[in-house]
Amino acid sequence: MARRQKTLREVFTAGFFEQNPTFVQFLGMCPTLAVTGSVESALGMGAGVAFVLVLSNLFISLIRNFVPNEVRIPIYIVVIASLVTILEMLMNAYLPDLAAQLGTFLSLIVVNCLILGRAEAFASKNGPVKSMADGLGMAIGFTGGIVLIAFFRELLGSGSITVWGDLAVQLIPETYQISILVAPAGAFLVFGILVAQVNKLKFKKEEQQEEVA
Amino acid sequence: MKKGIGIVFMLTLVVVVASLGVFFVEDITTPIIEDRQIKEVQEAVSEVFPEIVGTTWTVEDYTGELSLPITGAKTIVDGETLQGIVYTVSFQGFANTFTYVVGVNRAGEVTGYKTLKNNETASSAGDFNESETFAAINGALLSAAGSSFDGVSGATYTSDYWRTSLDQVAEWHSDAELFDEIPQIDVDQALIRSKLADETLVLTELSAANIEKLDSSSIDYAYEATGDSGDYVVYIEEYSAYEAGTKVLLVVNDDHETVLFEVLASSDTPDWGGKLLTETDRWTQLEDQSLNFLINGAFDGLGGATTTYSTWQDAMYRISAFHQEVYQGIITYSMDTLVPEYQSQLSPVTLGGMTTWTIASDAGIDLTTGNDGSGLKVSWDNPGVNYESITIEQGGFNFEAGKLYSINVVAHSENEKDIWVSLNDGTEDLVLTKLALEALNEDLSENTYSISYNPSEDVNNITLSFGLGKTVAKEEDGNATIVEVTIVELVGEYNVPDQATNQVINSKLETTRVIEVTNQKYKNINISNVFDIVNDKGEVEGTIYYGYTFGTYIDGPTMINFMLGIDKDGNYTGFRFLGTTDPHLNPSEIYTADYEKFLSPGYFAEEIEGLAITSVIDLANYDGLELQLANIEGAINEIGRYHVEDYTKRFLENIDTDELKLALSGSNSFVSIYNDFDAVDHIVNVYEAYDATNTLVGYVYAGEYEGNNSDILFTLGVNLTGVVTNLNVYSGSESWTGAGKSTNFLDSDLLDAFDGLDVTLFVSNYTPAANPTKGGVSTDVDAISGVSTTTGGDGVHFGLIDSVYTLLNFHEENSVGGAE
Repeated sequence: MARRQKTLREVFTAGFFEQNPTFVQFLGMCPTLAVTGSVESALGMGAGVAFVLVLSNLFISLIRNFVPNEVRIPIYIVVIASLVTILEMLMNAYLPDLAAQLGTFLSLIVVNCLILGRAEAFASKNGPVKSMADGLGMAIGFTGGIVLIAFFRELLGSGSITVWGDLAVQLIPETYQISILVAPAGAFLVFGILVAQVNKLKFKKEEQQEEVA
Repeated sequence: MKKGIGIVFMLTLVVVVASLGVFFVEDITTPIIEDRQIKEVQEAVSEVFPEIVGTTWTVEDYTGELSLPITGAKTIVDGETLQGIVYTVSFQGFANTFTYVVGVNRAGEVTGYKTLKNNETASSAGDFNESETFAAINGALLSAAGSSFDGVSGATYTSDYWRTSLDQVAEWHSDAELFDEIPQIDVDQALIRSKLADETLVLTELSAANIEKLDSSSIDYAYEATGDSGDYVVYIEEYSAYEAGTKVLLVVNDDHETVLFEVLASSDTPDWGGKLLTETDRWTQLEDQSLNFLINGAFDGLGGATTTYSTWQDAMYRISAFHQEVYQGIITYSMDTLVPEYQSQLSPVTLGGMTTWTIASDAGIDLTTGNDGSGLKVSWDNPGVNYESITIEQGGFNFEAGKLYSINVVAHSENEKDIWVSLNDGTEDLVLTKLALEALNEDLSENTYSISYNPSEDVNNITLSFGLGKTVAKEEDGNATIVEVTIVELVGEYNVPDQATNQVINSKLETTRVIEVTNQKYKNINISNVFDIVNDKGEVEGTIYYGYTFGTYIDGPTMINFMLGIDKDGNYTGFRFLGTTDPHLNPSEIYTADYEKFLSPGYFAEEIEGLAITSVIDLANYDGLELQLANIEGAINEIGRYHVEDYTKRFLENIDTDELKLALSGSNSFVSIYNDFDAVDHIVNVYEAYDATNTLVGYVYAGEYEGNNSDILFTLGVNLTGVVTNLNVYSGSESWTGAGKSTNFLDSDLLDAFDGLDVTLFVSNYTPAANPTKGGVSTDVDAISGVSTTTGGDGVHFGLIDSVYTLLNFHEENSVGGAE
């Protein structure tokens, strides 16, 4: 029996929860832990990943039928690296503060396994539209994941949420802030707690589905 | 094959397309990025060089060659004057390129810093973006700024790289020498304008005469300043406090009041003296104070930081004294000024003057040769020697090693005779030379002829002799006249005489001098120091005592310090106050610290000067100062007594070598070391004893005490292990047998009882008497009844046992030869 093709909507939304790169697939852990000190940084990283992921999926999908199997990975890397370089130049030109904030992790998008993973797992086997939908959906899921982590870290760790630039909203007095959450160790703590919650929801949903069946 | 080509083609195609894409985007973004960076640098220039704000100074690109890590430089120019430079610096941090700008002014100080690009991990290196992180380097010299940076915790590597980059910038900046040297007055004017908040202030140098006084006061800079806010005198002084490099600023207004004091730099201990000195609030007590306040040094808040405090007081004293003298006509003499002036005034002879020893009067003594029996005969029976000694000679000269002496002879000769001079130590001629060369074939015209003598070692008891020489051409009688001879020690600047031509020396002479001899004196409660006035022959012309006594008791004892002069005939030459803490004496009319007041007679003149030291001084009373004057009288009288009774004890008595040898077997030669110690009653001299190979073998003491019938003189040896070798009594006529003893004192067993004593044990086993004039009790050597005045040791009489104890205790207490 032929496997049913996923609809465009299913492809787009898969990354939101069911195959969320951050909490389910555990892809792109390096920026997940490193740039989630503030919501602003997480959003910036998410946007950058989205830019690269959507376009890399597009280009790889377009050339998938011409790429010899033996050199597909190097070619994917060339495409991704080129897109990251372009992203860096654009951000340095138009969003220099954000580029400075993301620092070296902007360059490290090249080695974000989410991007190479989606290129290999999806874009190399699907058409451009679906590939872009997959890239965008995964990017949204990735961004949502790291923004969620950043939200808790920044809110509970520093007591405020930075909306943009110097605009920040102070929500928790200093006495009640959990300063460790701002530190690198805090990223692991928050990530671990959120993964547990996601799995709890996932198992609960599966149990409900089994009961229905 | 086809597949391979396809792979290569595809790879190439992808790379080319990707490159084109990157190139296209780069083409668009590069100008934007560069424009932004230029704008950032320009904005940063104002930020890191704030002096530019509000001026017409322009910012220009530095067009010279730069070296990494400096990637750019902007010069700040005022007309043609370079006011500053802002460097753009890029270096490789831990993971990324790091870029910053740093401003430097004409003085080489950092004017500001800003990080432009820091892509290091924000959580660890984010502080590089905070201006507070670099607060310490603002104002620091660029060369020292790197070391002023504490670094960013968690970003050790980047911090180190940052320091290295700044040091490289400093090195380049130093090598480039971009700035003309700024005149010190311009630097200080900018400083004072800033400190007094008066941009109209103009600083001018002091007059040449005052600058000379400034130098003698050891003050670094002083200016007169005029501006809208008033007229000032500005003093800037650098001095060494607990650490070197303290720099203070003092500004005095035209009412001679202090209007500003500030410590500009201090390297003293940051948590102690440095903190005490640099706290601004501490110095509010100086505001509007007269300069007397500074001179008196009555300040609060620096207690405990002794060195920091005293050096600061000294700096303030010098500035205040200078200011009062130059601007108020009040002369305050420092001890450095007063002491030599007082020494000169109290000296019975002119200090620094040439002491003349005349061996022939103006009439001259004819050194006449001839066969008639008159005059001084020179025989010519030894043709091999071209001079003959004559009887004009004078002995007893002592010359010190390393000094230069000039023997100046006024003489003339007739009948083509030349005059020879020799210095002889009894065995050989140390100097033997003709007085002048031009007498070879002609008479020696009357003139002053000089020869120099520069002994390489001390020589004593030298005889000066003159001879009349024959010339080669004329071996017949002649005569010469020695008119006058002087021997002077040349000190200071002098021209070494030309031995070949015997040119008359044009010298700066200073032969009569003040020598501190405190250590050779017996201690006295009223005497702190003793100085002898010694002429070039080593003769003591007089003595100056530094004395002290108490003033009134006000919250503690107060002191009165003075100098007292005594001439060699035992008469007072004068009395001078050196200082006092007595609050009543200090402001009184009888106290002065102005040496010029003594240039005319009258100050205590009738009551002290010229009186014999055996006189009882009785000073005129002044109401309210009775106690002080009584104490001064007492101190002067005590010093007079001391001078008669104790002062002479400093002249060491040389003991016959044979008596010294008897005290320490194997000893052969002796060197007195007593002058290295404070003199003690009953100890005549102390010698190091050497054997025939000139090896130190021990110490020999020469002692004395008053026996029952005579003065007892003895020598006592102590070997290097601290054991008494022998007690040798060589003078004393005691009625020993008269007291019923079988042998006389000098042959008694008592003397043998000291041989072999361990010095340390003997001293520890001896119990001194409570009354210091009495003897103590020894458990090592027993007193002998019936002759207790001679032997002592019975706790009642001071005798031999007690005298020996005095010597051995001296040996222990002074660690002679390392004794413990």
